[in-house]
Amino acid sequence: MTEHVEATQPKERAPRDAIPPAIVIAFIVVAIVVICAFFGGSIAPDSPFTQRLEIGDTPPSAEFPAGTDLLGRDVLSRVIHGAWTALIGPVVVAAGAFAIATVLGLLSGYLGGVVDSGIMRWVDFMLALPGPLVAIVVVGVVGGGYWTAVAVLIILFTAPDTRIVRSAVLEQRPRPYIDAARALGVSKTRILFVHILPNVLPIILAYVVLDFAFALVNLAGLSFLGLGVEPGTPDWGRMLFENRTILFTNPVALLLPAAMVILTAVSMNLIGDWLFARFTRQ
Amino acid sequence: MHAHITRRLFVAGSTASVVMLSRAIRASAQEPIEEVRWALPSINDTMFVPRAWSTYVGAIMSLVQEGPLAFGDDLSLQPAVAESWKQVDDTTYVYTLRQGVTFGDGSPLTPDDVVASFLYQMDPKSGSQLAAFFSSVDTVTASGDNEVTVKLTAPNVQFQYTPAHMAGFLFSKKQLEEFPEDIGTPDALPLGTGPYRLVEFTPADTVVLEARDDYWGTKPVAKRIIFSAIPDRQTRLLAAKNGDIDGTFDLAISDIDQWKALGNVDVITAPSLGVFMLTMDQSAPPFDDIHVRKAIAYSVDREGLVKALLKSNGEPATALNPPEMWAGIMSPDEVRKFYATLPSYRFDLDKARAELAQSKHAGGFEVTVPGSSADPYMINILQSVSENLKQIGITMKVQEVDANQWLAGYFRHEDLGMQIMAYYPDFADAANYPYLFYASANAVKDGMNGSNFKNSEVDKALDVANQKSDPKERAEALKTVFRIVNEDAALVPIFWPDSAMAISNEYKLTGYNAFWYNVPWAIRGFGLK
Repeated sequence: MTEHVEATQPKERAPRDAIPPAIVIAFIVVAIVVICAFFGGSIAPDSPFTQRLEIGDTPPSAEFPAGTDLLGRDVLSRVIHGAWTALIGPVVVAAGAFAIATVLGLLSGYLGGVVDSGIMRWVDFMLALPGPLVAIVVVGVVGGGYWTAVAVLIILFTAPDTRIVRSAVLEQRPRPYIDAARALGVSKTRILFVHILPNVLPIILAYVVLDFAFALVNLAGLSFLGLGVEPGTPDWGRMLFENRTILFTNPVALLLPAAMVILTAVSMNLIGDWLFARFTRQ
Repeated sequence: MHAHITRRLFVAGSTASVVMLSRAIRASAQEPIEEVRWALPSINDTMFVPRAWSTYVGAIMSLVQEGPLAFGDDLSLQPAVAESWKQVDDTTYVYTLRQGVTFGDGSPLTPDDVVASFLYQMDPKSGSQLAAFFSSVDTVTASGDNEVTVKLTAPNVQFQYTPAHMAGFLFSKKQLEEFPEDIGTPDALPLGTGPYRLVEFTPADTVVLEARDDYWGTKPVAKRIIFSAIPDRQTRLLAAKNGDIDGTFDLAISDIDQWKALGNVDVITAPSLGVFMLTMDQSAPPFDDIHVRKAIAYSVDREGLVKALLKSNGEPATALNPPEMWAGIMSPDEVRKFYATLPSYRFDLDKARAELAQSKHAGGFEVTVPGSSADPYMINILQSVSENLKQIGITMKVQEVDANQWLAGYFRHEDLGMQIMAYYPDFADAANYPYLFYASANAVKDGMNGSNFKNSEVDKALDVANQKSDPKERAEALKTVFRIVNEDAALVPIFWPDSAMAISNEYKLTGYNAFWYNVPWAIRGFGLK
């Protein structure tokens, strides 16, 4: 009996507590990106802006491990500094979209009726729009570059996020603890933000991480189209755009930022999926 | 049975074979080509040249429209719609029109069409971007059944090139009157007397031309030419690699090696006579301060940009005119010696800082400079200058806009600040650039003088250079202009690039030169190899 208990306990604990190796790697990648974003100036071997016109674009060498771009700028340093725009924009998009979506989703899911109907029709409308195309048109017409793109993505991401929050709230609404709160005369605001919100927050957090990945890819895409950051800014999407002309002389200048976009997005997706699975199991 | 072939028979047979083979090759060279697909970095919203004076519109419309004269392969003036012309006196030109020239709709070209076309360009109400080419014209009259006389207000040497330039394109008088607003749009495709007829136009996207059987001159080999806009350089390169296009103009010099590596295209290069420059609006702060302008001039690493962007296929510009533009006045070597005597503002950030310190804006300032995303160099040049200016305390933001927006902004002539301009010559005359960029008369809306540079001494010298035909007199006048404008840092010349084009190696094009956008290139030695 004792032997049986000792043998089964670790088996039950393993799936809940052990972090899969892929998730560990994903966390390491994200940690590297975060470190580069905040401490890029100390880590990068050179300034991302220093030009060396006399050498122009060169392949990787001992002096420049990722080579240089058309203006002779160190590609590695630019990739390291590019982590900042890769991080800050998606964080703002994910946080902003979910902040708005949380309020709308809570109201829609809990109040129902006209409020629910109004919000969900708006969500339906937004989901019917081709998101990337809307972003391209708005940023192209309005201008403003990176932060306009961030603002547009917040609005576009809010709609699907609202639907997620609403469905989580609908799951909570018929539960006894809500009925009990209502019976005790607790205000709607308190029920929404003190009782329901903490219970749907884990799911929201899991989706915030996924939003980050989507925002990263979208912002990189807009920068690639010349609609994101200002020319010259170290930004992975912009580097893809600028360095495509030197593909044959220094392919690393194109492949490295591309790899960083993919690695970061995949890592955040894995982390988001893992968090979602973990929270929903709890 | 063995055939017995004598030496004489062998020689005769070989000779006959060679003759037949050469005939066959010649015949194949004359073979019509059903369709040619040509890419351009952009296609304008209109095909009406007075409202879209750009090299890409020129590359298309030079096949549809003609002027009385044309530029030859050697850039000299040649007869076109006018079979002959003469300068009667210093201010009078007479053009004798060729008989039997018709527009694309079959209607005959008359002297009235020539007069209407020139008067349209001259009329301020037309708002033509090419009006400056007619600023010296007093009257244009039909002086005979097939004769047009142009009288100038004063002698102007440069006017001789106008009838060969896009500005001299001849329109149907009837069409100008019927569609004053819509001409150039898909609803009113411009008629011309050229070898091709414009049959389809999707603004900013596609243009389709069809060869005219009734063209008066050399018959086109290509029956149909389809132009498409492919702004992205790498996309154009891949399109050529996949055989989706047969050719394109305006290759970025830095991409030449990539194009050559494709294997299925030939790259043709020629001196472009073009110039890249920064203009600075002297009518408003901060560029009304000469020290600011000099600080900017010292902050441009011309040699570095030529190496990095042009891979040394070009020359750092020490003045506005490429040396070859002085043809007929001074040799390139003489020009270079003269340029060496001018203030040239070689890249030196210490001198730039010193100049800025002497200015009213010693603490620096902020400026936003728009650049065309279609141009292969502009954004990179601006990034480079921006980084250098940052080091002396000037914040320069680079704004990337599409080609149409950039050009429209320049011609709007409002709040110009600092602008980047790439200009390719209208004709090889040493007074061309200085007149466009330094004459007070062009410091207006639709004018090219983006620096709003106004100097009476320069205007007087330009008058001499434009009016006198004596090379020595013109040389002295232009030297005066260049001494003043370089001393004043009226604008910042950057580099003189070579030009390059790519063409499928199935085809040849022998007539490629600096004026590819101003000659009917598809009938200038174009055909199957």
